[in-house]
Amino acid sequence: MSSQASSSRAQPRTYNALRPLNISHGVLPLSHSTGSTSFSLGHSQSSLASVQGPIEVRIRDELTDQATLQCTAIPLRGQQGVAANSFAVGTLQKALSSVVLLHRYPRSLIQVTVQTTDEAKASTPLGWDRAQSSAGRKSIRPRRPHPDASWTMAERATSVNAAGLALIQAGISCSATICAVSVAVVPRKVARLTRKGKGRATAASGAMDEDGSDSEDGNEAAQIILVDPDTFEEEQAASVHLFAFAMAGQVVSCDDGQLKGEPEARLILVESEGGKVDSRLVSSAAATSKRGALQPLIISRIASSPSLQYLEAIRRARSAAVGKIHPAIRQSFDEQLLGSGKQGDADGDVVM
Amino acid sequence: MVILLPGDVVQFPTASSSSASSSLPAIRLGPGLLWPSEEAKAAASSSSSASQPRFVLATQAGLLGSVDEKGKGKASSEGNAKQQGWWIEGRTQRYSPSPRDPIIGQVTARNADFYTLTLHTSPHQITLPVLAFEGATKRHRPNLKIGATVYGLVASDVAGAGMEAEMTCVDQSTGKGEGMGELDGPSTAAVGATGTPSVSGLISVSLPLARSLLRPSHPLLPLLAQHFPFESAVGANGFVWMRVDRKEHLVAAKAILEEADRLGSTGVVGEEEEGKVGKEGKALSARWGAGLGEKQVRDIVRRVVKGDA
Repeated sequence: MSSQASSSRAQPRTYNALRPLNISHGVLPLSHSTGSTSFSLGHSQSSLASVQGPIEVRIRDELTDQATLQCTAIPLRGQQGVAANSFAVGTLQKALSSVVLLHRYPRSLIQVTVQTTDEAKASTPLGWDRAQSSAGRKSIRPRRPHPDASWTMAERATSVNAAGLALIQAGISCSATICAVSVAVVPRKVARLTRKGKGRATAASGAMDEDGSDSEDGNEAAQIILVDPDTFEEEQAASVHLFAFAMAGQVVSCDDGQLKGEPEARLILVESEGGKVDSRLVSSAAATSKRGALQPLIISRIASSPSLQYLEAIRRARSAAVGKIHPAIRQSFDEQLLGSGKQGDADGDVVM
Repeated sequence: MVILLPGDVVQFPTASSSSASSSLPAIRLGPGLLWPSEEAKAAASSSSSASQPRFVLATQAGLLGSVDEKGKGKASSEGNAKQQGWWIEGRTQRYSPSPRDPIIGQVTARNADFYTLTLHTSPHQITLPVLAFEGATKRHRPNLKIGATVYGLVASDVAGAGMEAEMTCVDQSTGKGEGMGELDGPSTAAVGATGTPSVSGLISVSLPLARSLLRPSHPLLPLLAQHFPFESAVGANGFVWMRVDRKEHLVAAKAILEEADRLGSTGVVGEEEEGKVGKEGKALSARWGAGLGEKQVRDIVRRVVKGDA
């Protein structure tokens, strides 16, 4: 990931590429939080999550058979408003409750707080004519910062990732590792400006990292799916989506201590704004979330069919989660436990 | 070594991969691992010669640790088939009381029958019956004040996750105290070995370091004893209580434990911390010049006791 540039002007990334991931554990001292993690995508989108717990719970919040999960989300600017609270109580709580083993901590409280620590304003790429592009087009995002504007999907993705990792860092038992990815569907002219198109990529269209969507050059209105959109891309998008996956099932064999296969990504959270997304698509997306159930689709036909496009967006998000985020998470714990210099001795004995 | 993440599936060694015997030992799981179903648990908790691979689910992040029935562990890949106990070693700092763990707590409340103590690193309080001391009778009871520091064991019949744990300051089989009970704190006027008023205090350490210090073969405390006399108690809830003659010694002890904790993170697996005096010596020597771990400890003691910042 370190070879990716962060600024779209210097060297644009491909349509499916994430910004460079940066994960730090134990950012806050132990006296302040049980576990804390900072998660950032590129230099412009980062969140810090802190977990306290399991701790004593107020009697009125106490649940006798499981832990009470309390989530709080704090935006970078301003106070917590409707957007932050709805993200915390709706999105974050739902995503975390589905992986944390709450029944192992009855009558206690697990507090998760996420703070957005970095959020870049949209930077207009070179060659973007604002006047021409905005004529007759309604953006799904307000142009000026608005106190009630909902959080961008990239911000939500980094917050969900940071919260999930902080829970793991705190040692709270979870059944899976959460990876959240944001996806935007943008008009082709936006994608051309901000990302590398097929003209420079290799022709093999089966690989996940290449995009095949440029095959019809004349179709300017065609829509491109971008993974991990930055703020400008989200502003110009026709629709933005957040997909959170619970990653589980990667086999570690005790015979040789190696990882085998890939984790299975189960879709646990879907949020969408803009575009025509009806509820049948959401349920069909959840139903087809088994790995391999989706066939590679001919991208050039996608622009016209919103449901295929939606499933393709999920497929790309999943491949980003499996291919980039999950290994980065594993490596971050590796660095934390074994030291970045690999000072851990693989032949050491464990003696009780 | 592979770091496990929650959701990873651990595949235990199968009969085909173990060299000699054809039967697999019964497997018990420690923290961080769960059986996927009741049938799997029943099938695996008895010795079996099936060659079907057995799977468990990891619920915490960390390294995989294992021991065989004698309590000896092996981190290398051969010989893993014999391992009976498996767990995940991570860096959590939340302590949950488990039976027969030595712990250091502080009294927060008292009533006629028991004291209530806090373990600081545990979310729930722990109770200590008033009669659970050596030689305690109804007429002759210890008188612990609020805030007193107590060293004891978690009672061996502690119930499940939802119930409050109990501790004891007497070995329940022999009735002897064995050093348990109130530890001298600032409120008691303790006198040290040399007759001068002594200094005592609690040092907070990480849970993995505390667990590893509890092993009798850990070299760090004997190494410390070469420099100054002290009395210490280690609690599995992440505290080390020490009594020394001079306050600089206490500060030096704290500095050494913090350094050990910092370096201990390069290998949470127990042997790393035990062998870390040699290993950390090698690691540090690359930075601070030639020397062994002993020299390192000596340097820290000198630096603190001689009064450098």
